[in-house]
Amino acid sequence: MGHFELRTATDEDGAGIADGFARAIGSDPNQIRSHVVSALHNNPHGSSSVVAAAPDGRIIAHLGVTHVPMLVNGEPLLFGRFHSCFVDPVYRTGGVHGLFNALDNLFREAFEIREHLAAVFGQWDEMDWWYLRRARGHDAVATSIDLRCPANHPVLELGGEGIVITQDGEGSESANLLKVGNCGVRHDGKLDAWRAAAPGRSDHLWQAWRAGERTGMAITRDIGGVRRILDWTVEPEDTESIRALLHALTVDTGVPVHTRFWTSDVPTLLLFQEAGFQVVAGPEVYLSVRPVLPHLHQLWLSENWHVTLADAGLHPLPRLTIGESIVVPPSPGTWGGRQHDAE
Amino acid sequence: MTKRTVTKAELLLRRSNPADASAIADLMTTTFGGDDTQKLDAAWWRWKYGSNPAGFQGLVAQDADGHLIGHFGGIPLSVRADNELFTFAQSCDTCIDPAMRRGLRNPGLFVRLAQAYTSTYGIPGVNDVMFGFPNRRAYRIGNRYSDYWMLRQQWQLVSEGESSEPTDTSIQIHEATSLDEDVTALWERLLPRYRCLTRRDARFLRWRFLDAPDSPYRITLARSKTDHTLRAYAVHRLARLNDNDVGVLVDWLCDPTDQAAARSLQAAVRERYTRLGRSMVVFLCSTSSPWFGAFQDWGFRVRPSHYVMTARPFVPQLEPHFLREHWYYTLADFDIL
Repeated sequence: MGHFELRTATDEDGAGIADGFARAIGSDPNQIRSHVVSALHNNPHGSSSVVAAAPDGRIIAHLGVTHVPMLVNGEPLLFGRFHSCFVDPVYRTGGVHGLFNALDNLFREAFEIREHLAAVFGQWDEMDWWYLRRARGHDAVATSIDLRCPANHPVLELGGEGIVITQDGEGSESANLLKVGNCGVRHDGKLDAWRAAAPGRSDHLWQAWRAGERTGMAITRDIGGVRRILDWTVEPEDTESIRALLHALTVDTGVPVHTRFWTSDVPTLLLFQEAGFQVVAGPEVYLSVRPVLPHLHQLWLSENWHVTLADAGLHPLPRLTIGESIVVPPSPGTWGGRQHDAE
Repeated sequence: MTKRTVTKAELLLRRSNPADASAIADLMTTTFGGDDTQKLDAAWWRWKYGSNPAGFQGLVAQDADGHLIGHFGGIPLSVRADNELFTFAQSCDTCIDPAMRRGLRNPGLFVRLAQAYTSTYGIPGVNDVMFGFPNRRAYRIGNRYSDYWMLRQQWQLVSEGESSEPTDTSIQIHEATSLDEDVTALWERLLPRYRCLTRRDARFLRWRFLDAPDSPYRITLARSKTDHTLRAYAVHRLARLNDNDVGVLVDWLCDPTDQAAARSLQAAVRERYTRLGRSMVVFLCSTSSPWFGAFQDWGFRVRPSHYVMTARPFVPQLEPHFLREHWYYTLADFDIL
């Protein structure tokens, strides 16, 4: 492994991160650049990144966290979600985890301070979560469940006529904050418009309005013959808005509708089921948190935090972005461990 | 309550044995303040630990005077996974004399007992998997000091009212007060359908349900009308759960492809509790089980539970991914009801 410098990223590192990413996982740099710019640079609430730079200036490793504005018991806080990470194959001597650990250590020192981030979180599979828990201080909040509604299922009846649903309509960016439960994303129009503008996708932003006041929102993506609800926020007690929004998302789609939650409130879950969604295990992906503020305990979060795909990300992080597990060696007493030991 | 202080030198951790039965029961009663639904006495210990066909595990902590001041119990289960037999052990009945809790420095006696238990029993050749539904306090401590692994957030299936599913006329439903060897035959017949399953033979089921002191369990069987072959069984009881008096489906075994027997059996159980004025029936099983979907088809709805399913494997065949995907468990595998 050659020499490198660990440092926090600057705005000028965007192209270098994208190029390094492309080298690490063999993808088109332009496509990656648009994703990195969208997720880290365009986020209206900002992002925090650390990089490892070679002496010639090339970025050879990166750990990026996109900021998520939260409202926790009425207090506005900023969480960080692990968004992307790569380690140049040349610098993986001794395993990816060596440099990943170094990046993560620097990230903690630089950004996991109460003035900056209240917590960082991410989603992982069994192996990576084990490693992050043992070595990186993550605690599991929950495992995911998937909800699936078959095509052409009878739609949920509306609970009244007081709710108007708009799609990709005017006024999105100026829309007001949504009420959330004890712990949820601080949705405003600007955040939602950014979330619905994923590069290369035709996502749709749906909003529920009562007497001109925004009461709920959802983001959907139609892909591969399935409509996926990526984001969903409605005040739990507002069943009229939940019904109206669910009705709009499922009526006349002609395709199955899927979504994934980690934790959610009981009324919302029951209304999804009433609308024809069946709960299935799916990959049961771990959502883990590393709190900076001590009161953000995993057990409290497991009961109070409403988490959607747009909050946690579409895929478990490391396998997607590094291209291999960050767990080296895998956890003892596991199949992966045995395979590793046999090698 | 008198606060007592025990130094490390005065503390002895050792394996529990039948002579500890009364003292463990007394300690449990002192710690948890008694239980309206289950009397904790020597008979309870002798049933739960002494009579378990798979044996028992446990550590106790005693002070210099020989008084028991802590207990960490384990209920082993014989589990067949991909044609191999393994021992899964549920951690349970963990208690520390309340007078002692503040007498020891951090980590306290609870943690030291838990760590000693894991060191003693969490090794290949003894336990292949250790698991449990810890309460929130125990999970918090276990997560920090004893390497508890969250297997999944546990969900529950809840129905309200009678089933709308018609009873299949080819199925005969009846209640039983004994369990014959045909339940063993049913379990053996269904082994190919479940890749990871506790040995649900007559001996285990009799111990788990019929031999329990003041057994509150009811057994309902589904048989073929023609040849009386046992097709499925359900074990259920009244219990206080989710702040409601509900019917709880504690155990359920049926061929996942035998929809006629399954539909009729669940309908019979629900009808019974509706008749008793308890329209809510709760069932808890692994999310990956085919029954998780089937019960939803029959009108059950999924709700969060208070439980975190924890499990830690000690052999490579039973990695967490395998357990999450293939281990079929119900409340019969736990001691909470």
